Amino acid sequence: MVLVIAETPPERIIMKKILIIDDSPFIYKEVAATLEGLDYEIIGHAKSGEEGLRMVQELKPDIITLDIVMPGIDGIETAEKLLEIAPDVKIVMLSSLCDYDTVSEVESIGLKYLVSKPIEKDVLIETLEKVCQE
Amino acid sequence: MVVLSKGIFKSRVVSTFPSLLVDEIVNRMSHNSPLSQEDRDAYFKEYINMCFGRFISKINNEMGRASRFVIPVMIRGLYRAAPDNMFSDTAHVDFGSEYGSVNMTVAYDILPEHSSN
Repeated sequence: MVLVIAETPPERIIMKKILIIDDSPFIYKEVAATLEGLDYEIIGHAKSGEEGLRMVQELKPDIITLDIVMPGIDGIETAEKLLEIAPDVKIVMLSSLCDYDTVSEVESIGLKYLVSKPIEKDVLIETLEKVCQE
Repeated sequence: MVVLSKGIFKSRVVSTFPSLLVDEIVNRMSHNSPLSQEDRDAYFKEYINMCFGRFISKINNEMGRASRFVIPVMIRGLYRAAPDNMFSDTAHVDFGSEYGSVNMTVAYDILPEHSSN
């Protein structure tokens, strides 16, 4: 006798693709560890704004986490260029700079999210959930 | 470790850390995972980056205007700084720890509002 078990096909989960632009290997590993097991796939790590601009066209991420203080062009300038070449991508700034002026600068280029470093895991996850609901 | 800031708060911060303390900080950040020396240095630079970012953010909020800092530079061994008379004020801070003492010298200028550097 052959027993056939009818299985309901599992609901397909669409993983959100994330590109991390940050010169620090520590931040890359922290973000990766925080998102492990969640519905996100880290598809790349760029260590500068210039590298990030190249990778975004090739990898087409849904979300980018972006540092502000980096070698070469800084995160604010990188974000402006990213919005020109990939206007649909969602950007979450990650920075230890979290003063009022930096927040206004981030808002002035049309971004809504700035997560302060050191990263609090709950805050990062909650922020990404908000981004995904937009 | 040398960190420079520019903007309304122009500064050069030179801080010296005992290697035992650097090792301890990096080991805690990495949860004792093995790292290359290059990554160990990058982890410690990120630690300084986070400390200095918070420091500059506080100053920015106090002053109502933004200053920015550049990537910290890590130097092993002795460092001879340029004379502090490039800046109008200097502050020294020492911290004790079970891993040795941390010495920090902040040479700084608070520039008029119309200045950018």
